[in-house]
Amino acid sequence: MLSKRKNTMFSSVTAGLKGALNKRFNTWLARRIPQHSQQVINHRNIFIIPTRFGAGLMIFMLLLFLLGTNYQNNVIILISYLLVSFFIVVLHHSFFNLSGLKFQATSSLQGFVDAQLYFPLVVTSNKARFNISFSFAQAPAKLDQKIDNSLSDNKQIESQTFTSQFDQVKLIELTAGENNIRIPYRVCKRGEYPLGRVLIISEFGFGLFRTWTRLDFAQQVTAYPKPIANLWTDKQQSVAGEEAENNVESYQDSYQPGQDEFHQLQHYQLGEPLSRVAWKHVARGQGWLTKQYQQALSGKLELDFEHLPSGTLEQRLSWLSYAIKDCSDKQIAFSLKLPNQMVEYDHSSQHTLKCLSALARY
Amino acid sequence: MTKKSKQSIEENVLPRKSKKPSKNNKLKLNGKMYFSLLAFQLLNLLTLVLQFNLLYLLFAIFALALQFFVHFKLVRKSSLASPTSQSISFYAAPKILPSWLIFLLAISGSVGIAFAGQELGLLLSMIHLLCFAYSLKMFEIPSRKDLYQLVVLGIFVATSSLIFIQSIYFSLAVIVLVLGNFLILINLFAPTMAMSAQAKLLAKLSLYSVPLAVILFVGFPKLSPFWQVPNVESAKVGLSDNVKIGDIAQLALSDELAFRVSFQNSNPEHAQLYWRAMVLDDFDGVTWRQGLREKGQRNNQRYGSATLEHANSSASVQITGEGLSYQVIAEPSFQSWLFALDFATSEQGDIGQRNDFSLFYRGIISQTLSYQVTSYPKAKLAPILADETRALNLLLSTENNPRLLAKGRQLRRQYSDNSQLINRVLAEFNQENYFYTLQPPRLNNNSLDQFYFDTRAGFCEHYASTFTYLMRAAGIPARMVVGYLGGEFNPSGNYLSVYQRNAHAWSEVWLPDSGWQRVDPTAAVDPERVESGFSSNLMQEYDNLSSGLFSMQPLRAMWWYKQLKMQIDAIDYQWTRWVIGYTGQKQSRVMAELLASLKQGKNIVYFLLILITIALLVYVYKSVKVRVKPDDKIKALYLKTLALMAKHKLVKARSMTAEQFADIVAATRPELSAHFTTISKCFAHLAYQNFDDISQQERHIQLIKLQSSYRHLRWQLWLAKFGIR
Repeated sequence: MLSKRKNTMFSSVTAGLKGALNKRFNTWLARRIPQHSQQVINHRNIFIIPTRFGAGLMIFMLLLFLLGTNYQNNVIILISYLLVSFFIVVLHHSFFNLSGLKFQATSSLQGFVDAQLYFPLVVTSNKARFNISFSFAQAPAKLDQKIDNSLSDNKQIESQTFTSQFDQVKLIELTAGENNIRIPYRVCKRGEYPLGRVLIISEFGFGLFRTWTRLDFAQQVTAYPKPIANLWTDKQQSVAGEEAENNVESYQDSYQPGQDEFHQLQHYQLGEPLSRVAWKHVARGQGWLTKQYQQALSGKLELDFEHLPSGTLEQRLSWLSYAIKDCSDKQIAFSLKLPNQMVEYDHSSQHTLKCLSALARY
Repeated sequence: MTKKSKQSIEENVLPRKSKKPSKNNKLKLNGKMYFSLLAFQLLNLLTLVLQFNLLYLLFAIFALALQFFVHFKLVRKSSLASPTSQSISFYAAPKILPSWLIFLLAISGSVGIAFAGQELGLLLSMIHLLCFAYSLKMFEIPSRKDLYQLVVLGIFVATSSLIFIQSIYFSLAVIVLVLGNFLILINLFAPTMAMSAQAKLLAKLSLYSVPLAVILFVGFPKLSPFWQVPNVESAKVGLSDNVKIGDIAQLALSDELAFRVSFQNSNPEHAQLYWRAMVLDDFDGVTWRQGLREKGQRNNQRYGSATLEHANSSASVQITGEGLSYQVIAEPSFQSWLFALDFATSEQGDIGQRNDFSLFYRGIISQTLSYQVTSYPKAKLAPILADETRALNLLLSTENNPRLLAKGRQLRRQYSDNSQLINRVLAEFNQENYFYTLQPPRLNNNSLDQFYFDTRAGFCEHYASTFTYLMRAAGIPARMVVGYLGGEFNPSGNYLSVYQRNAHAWSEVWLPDSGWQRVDPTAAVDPERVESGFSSNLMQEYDNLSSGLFSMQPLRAMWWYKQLKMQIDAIDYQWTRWVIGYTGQKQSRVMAELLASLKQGKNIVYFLLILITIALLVYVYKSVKVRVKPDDKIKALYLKTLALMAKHKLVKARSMTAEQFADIVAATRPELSAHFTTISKCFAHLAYQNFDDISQQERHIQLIKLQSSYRHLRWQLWLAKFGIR
């Protein structure tokens, strides 16, 4: 945290240097702690450095030694030795507080850019451990407060405890056995990329040492473009070709419920909204059927990248993302056409994920 | 402590780059923490309580009490507000005093201490400043950093008390307290842990850190002071360098320890133990002082070293006979004289010797001081007397004691031989009606005349003064020596303790053929006093005098009390000798001995090595061995059985269930099936049904049963190998 605060103060040159160093460190780390979905931490991958307080205490020990020597007072000298020895014992103790922890990553992450995601991790411990925090080693990006406001409000009741470090989960006590934890992850950029390393830190003991490790669980993040809705309401931006307008209109029409035409009855599938169930048929004992509707206008809704109003690539993808999300929420079937690929007309949730993934990968 | 809220997960999403610590950034602690902080502050300050100025003491108590009440009220309020929820309530420290008031207090306190500095002395004012900061710091703990500072300050305060007191019990208490301060930090990082578990953890870690600390203490080189530090200033203890008649009587009532001695070989007789502290040769009729005092304390530097080499080369002493080596551990007296038998030499650089053969320390003995001395009791002191010294030791103030002066002159006329004259005076002391008492009648203007001719009751000082005066009157150079006589031997520790009540005064006369000769007139009056310490009469008197509000006399008489006191004193002595008195010299000696024994391959070293190896092995074994629960043991037994069966070509395929395999075994080797089925069934029971309904004890019984089945099975298989069924 401190190093990050300093980072802002230093000039860009030092930042660049730091970046280069970081890169070297990361490649070294990749060799040292290879990625794996299941990891045990031990002497091979735990790092320990004294905290500022630890360093301060070392200076204090020296001070005591000087005091004892100057007064030729053996008891004070003895205490300074005792503190040195205690310091070393605490070093081991801090190590054993983390050593032997087992981690099992279960799933990859999917989500929209700038959303708060939680990476689930199963932590198995053979004994009670204390004060362990988990976080992703992410660069501090400008934090969108709006997104997280509601979230933090919810959690405030739960987290009456101290510290205000964000983006981390802190276990005050980790009980023996299996523990499920969720590590907050903020999605910064669109795409499909490795999750990165989880930073596991403990200062338990006495705050003298920071015991940490960075584990790579070999998981992927699929970051969908951030859904942006204001395209179709903003007139200035929609100075686009007619086809695009049609498309937009058709889309707009499609989600006005009164304009849909009844198309056919199909067998009810689990997960379909109850509002669409043909209750009359159910009452007659004809089984569970759902009413299927069809778009009134152009028939099938096609979301075409090429037909979007002009904007940057990311903007366009964001608009598409919003459209897909919206359609999915309203159970509207659609197809997606990107310059490099085509996703067929469908409305299932798998379909939605497929489309969003296509956007992420584009 | 509750178990409910054990795993509270904190997910805070807050902007990090706020420069000002926002409200959420404030360190929040639970009530337990605040109370332990207060308790440890109280304990840390208690170690220094004897040194504190009353004003500061009141302030510290007030500050602690104020905070205690505020936190007590807060905790009670919060527990009243939510009596059902047992969760630990964390809260930021309330602002008890506004910042400006704390600032004002800090300024005024520092100024106050600066003003009082003259009176307190440098060291004490620094200590006061430290403790004052410690008291104030408690009011403001906005962040974790401040908490750390508070803890470190506390440790420093507790440690600094050792400058003043170093007795074993106090030192051990301070060491425990210093380590105890870390409890606050454990509480900070694991607030959910039970208090006893925290204490246990801390005790464990502290114990682990003892061996290394001891090794460092024994082996790490002892350095000499880097720079001059302000010394402890305190009232002088023990003998004083100007003695009026009656002074030693005050000392004689003191049970305080003066110094302790351990002889290297045999202990000399009690009557030989005249510990010379200083020589008083300047008498003005009332008070005895050190001669040549006008030149001040600084002239201590003028005197030479006390080494044997120096003594051999100087003409003032003729060394004959064997040396007697011993170690003296002097308690702080805040003076500079040391105690030794005649004629004393010491190889230590910080010890000097005056012309009158007394040793002194080049500094003030403000803490326990240990030094090594070799004495030559048969040495001849000053075979030739310098004129200056002779003149000084014959100097008489004639106004005060005319009758004694006349008596001396008359004796001189009577006896031309010095020894005859001395014997005559001593015989008078012995045969006439002189008493040795700790409660002599008052003398007008400290008149020796009155004592010698009228009251005839006094103690060593009276006799020594009178005797010395008489000698001078008779023209024999004489002076008074002040020091200690004898000491109490502690058989369990094999050392001699000399207390303030052993203080003594005797005379020294210079005779042409034997140099300075010790004459103790007390021996003539009360021989027992010299030969074995206090006589029973004197002891009775002593008890009567020293008993204050309640008498210690019956307690003193009980043998177990004496025994206990001796044991405690022996422990304290060993502590003083090996810890407090562990000097660089001693260290090099210990290291040399250790090396020598290592070279010789002494048994003890092997023993230690073996012990260490065993400890290591046990540790490795313990860390390797995984603790298995009873139900796991059953599983382990099953796996062991499978391995055994596999050796005998009964391999369980992975896809098989335990039951299927048991069936196969029953089909192929029916003779084995009985025992194997037992094990298999038990395992299956464990794996699929759990043993929740079975108590720990039953489980254990089951395990023993299974083990016997296993042994049977192994036996059968072994027999089968040889074709026996």
